[in-house]
Amino acid sequence: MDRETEQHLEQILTLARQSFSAVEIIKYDISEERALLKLKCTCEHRDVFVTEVITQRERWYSYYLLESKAILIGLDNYPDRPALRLKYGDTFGQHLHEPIPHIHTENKQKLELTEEQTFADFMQMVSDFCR
Amino acid sequence: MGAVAIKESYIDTLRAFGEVDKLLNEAVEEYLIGRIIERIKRARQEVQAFEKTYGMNYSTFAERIQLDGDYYEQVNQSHPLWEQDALEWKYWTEEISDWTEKLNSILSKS
Repeated sequence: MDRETEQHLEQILTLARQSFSAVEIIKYDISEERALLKLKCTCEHRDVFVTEVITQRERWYSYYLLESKAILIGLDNYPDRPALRLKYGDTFGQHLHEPIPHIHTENKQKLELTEEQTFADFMQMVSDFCR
Repeated sequence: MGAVAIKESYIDTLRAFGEVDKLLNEAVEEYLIGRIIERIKRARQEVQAFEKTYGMNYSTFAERIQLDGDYYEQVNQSHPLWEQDALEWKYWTEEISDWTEKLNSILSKS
């Protein structure tokens, strides 16, 4: 991957270190065609889990904030079943490989579609949530 | 063909064993094969851990999580952060595929 991708992952790390504590790099891998960053950190008494995958064509993300194992915020763009159905209805089967940005709240009982989100967007949500 | 700088002393020693260009290409090929095999092994270990956790390969998992509502609910209960796993699982699965293709390409030309 190019230098830009490396900088993107470093930027996530820097932001995480600035705002969260106990930042632990679970995976950091940069290969020819794709790159992966997986982090675990804490925000006060809450747990934060971050996964970011960059490929030549797409950016995949999964940012989660948990409190006592309950999901408070779950931002990701994995094309899971309810997100696909919400976006495409009965024709969801034609879009199985497409990123579908969405948010899980209320311990995954609620799901809404979103615009594509960044780690900085997630940090803002966490900040608003913790305020 | 690309140009690279190699220490004169290495070139002099290589001459003792044969044609320098040929020997250098063979050495690079051997090095690449070793590194690619290491990479594939690492990716396989990562994939195997996910396969053990979810009891299937990535393509089956992806299909079921998207098409089987009961399975989706079940995984949400047993592994609420499965999306984190899925992204990484896909990553290593694609790594195996790409590096295996590169390895086969090198081996087929050697």
